[in-house]
Amino acid sequence: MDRILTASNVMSSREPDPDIVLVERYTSGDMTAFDELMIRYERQIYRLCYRFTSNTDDARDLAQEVFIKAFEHLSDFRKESSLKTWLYRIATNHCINHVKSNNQQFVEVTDTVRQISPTAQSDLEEKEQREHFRRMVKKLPPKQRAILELRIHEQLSYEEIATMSNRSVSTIKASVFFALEKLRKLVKEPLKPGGEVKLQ
Amino acid sequence: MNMFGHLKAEDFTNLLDGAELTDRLRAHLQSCAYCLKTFESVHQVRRQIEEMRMESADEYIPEPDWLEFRADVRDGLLSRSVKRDNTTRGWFGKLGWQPAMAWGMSMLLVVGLLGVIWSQRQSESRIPETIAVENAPPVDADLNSLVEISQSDVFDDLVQLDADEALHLQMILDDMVQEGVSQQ
Repeated sequence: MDRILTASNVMSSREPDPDIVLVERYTSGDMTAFDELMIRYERQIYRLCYRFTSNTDDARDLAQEVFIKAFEHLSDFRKESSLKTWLYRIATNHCINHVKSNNQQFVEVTDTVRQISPTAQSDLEEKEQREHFRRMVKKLPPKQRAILELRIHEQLSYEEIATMSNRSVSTIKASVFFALEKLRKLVKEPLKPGGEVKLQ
Repeated sequence: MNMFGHLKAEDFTNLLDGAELTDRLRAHLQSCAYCLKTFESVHQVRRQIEEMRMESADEYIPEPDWLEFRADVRDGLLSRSVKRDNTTRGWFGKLGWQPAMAWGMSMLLVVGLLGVIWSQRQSESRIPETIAVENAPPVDADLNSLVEISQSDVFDDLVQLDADEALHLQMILDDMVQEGVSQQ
């Protein structure tokens, strides 16, 4: 029994990474691997892009560009990190560049406080605070925003983010803290008059 | 801990993730108002982000038609590879299709270069002759200049003549000059 267990453990540890198998199939010319790879990651990459753009068309365009770039350079994928980390790295860099090049966006802050009941008023205020918080997240510098997105929304480990960004785990942990600190300061800032917040 | 004894950024993140603090750090956090305040405020922000994540997990994000999405990616890859092929072919690529033309053009280039070098060498070898010709007295010099030359030569010789010979020669020259004036 012990022998069988040991053998099965060895078998399982030798099982190749399905992503690596798909990459090898694709690079050797098997086009069916393309669809399989896309199905595995298209939704995740699209949702990541959507969180940066808040726009379905932009998110779709960005995600498509990420996949085109990834498939073009799939032969350069060194298999030192996982394919997921590698794809997230391309996607995050793409999203950061997108945010940087579209930093002239304006988010409208509508004046929604009107003559309403006290309960509804407090609900509305709470909602307004949440909206304000969301806007401040978008106002973070792109790299800090990316770190929070990857850590909190995508639930990537510090090790994965460190591999993606070629930084140490300590640096990533410190970056998360500084991003939260920055966000805290932004949330405390009063809204600018004129009903508009300029994104940085 | 940093040089002032406060918690480092990394320690705060560990703390936010629920990691166990060392006794020393815990003791510091309990006694340091600055670190405690920082931790509480960042913890609140972290909690708000978590709430936001929970909300967005339930949030409906309109998704594209995935078949169309994949087809677009495939088309994008194809068009990029076609563009890349055209770029790499370029000028040299076209020559590759017509090797005879490329060979002919390179031969023409070699012959042209040789011609230029040969003509340059020829012109360099002609330069000393030209200088010699330019320095020589003009062939069609007039008679007066010839007379001047001969007179200077003669008077150089006069220095070596004795008095009678010199007088005789002077008389001949004077006669010649007078004859020339009367002829004019």
